[in-house]
Amino acid sequence: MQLWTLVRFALCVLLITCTAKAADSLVVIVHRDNPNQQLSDYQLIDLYMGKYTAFPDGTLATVLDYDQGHPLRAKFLTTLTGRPMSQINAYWSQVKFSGKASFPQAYQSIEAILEEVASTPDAIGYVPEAALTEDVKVVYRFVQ
Amino acid sequence: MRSKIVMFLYLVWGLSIPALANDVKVDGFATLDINISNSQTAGIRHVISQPDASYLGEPSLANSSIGVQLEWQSSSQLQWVAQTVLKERKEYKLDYLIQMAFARYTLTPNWQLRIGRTGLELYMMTEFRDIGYAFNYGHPPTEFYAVVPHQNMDGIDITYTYPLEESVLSYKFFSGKSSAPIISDDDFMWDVELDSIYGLSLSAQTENWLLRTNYTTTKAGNTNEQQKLLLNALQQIPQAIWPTRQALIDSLQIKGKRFNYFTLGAKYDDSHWIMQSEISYIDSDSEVLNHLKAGYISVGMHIDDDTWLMTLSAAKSNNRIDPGPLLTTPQLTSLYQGVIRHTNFYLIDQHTWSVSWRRSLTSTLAAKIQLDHTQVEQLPSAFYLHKELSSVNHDNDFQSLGLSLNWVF
Repeated sequence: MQLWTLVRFALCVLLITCTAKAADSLVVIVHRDNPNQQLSDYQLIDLYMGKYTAFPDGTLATVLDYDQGHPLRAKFLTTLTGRPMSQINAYWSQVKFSGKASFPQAYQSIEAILEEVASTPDAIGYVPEAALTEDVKVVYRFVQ
Repeated sequence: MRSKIVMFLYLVWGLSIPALANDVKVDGFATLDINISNSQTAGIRHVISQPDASYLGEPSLANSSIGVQLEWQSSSQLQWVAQTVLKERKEYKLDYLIQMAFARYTLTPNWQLRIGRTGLELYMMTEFRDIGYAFNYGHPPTEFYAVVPHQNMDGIDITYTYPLEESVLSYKFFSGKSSAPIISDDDFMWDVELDSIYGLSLSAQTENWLLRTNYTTTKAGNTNEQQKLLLNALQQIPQAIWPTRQALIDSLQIKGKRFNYFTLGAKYDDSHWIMQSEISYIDSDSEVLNHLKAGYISVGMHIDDDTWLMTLSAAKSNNRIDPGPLLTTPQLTSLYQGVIRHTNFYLIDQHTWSVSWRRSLTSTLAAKIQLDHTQVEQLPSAFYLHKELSSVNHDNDFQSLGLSLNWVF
């Protein structure tokens, strides 16, 4: 039984990893009970660039991201802002080292983001569309 | 007293790190900068607190720095931030090493409060001028940024942020005290205390634009020892011999004088084209620093990993030059020269053309080169250190070249 569970877990991780690479589209997710249904480009940029960290209904947001160097992070931020990572890092250096805002909380994996968003009512994160679960709600999709 | 409180908080913060090791975020930055110049008279530096400068055949590393920032999120609304910066200084003391040490409390998404030693948001780049990776210039424009050595403030600031459909508006009020050294020729050093700082910053930020304005008023908290000696000497001179004596005494008595800073700035960056400009006006109750107008404008572009900028910066003050005593004696001449040196410390009239190039080597490492061509109408200048000023031919027209590696980690 334990072996079967382990095999299922390994297959699941493999599936998520493969589909994450295969499917290019990322989706932005929140807790399924979050009352906000949709975010605009600008609201998302404000959240991930540390300009204004709240949902459209005014609730303070806990912004989640991946560790620096995680491939999804660069893909998400460059797609969202239309700027290379060097410019994004330069901007964040201004914001962070002047003490105005901090980097979002960083996680190592897609599963960790999914788990945190599913258990935190005010959290927001992003994952590959193929990794979506029923515990989270999509509030933004990148147009292909 | 306030610096002792900041140091105490900093030490408590530092000692608690092992216990919080897993929750504390550690980030840092480093700049390795070398500056060379062809001036034999004007020692090039980029801020008046730098004790070292580059002359012809004497490169300077004074713009190099390394810093570490620690952040601890103790609750969803409360965060603790501490930053230390190591760079060349005239004096090394713990108070100078603590760049920031504050608590940030997010009351609501719109209201944020910071208490402790925070950055002083005077100009657009004041708070991150030591972090070379954060800006496209080789160094912030000297004519605009060199004059104010203060980068942080012990006090409180309150920010109200309001999102619009495609922009974010911020209103920030701050109040506190600050001190920073001014270094000049002949080992002159004055730890300039600014008391009763009150400032208001307004900014509007869209995806590509940043517009900001700031008005800050403050009172000088101390008068330096050399100025006190001059004041004592001036008080011995009869008014009939030096008719402007009383006005000079009033000017040199810096303590309690009000200094006002006004600035307006704009920045555009659409990841292809860049424009950045600021203008400022500094006024005070003292002739020492009065009617100083400064500004710069930069235009440039990003081309793949390269960023090119061309900048024109200028500064001009219109200090009144004291006519001096009616009699000429060696003692009065010496006193007059001493007085003039102080009242004309900020007598500035110069401009610089700059070309800067930045290459992103990785997403966290950048190399930068900047060539400056400066023309000065007036030497000595508060911006620079000097030597051979007694020579007839001052360098009023010189170039400097800065090369740097800038890293964030």
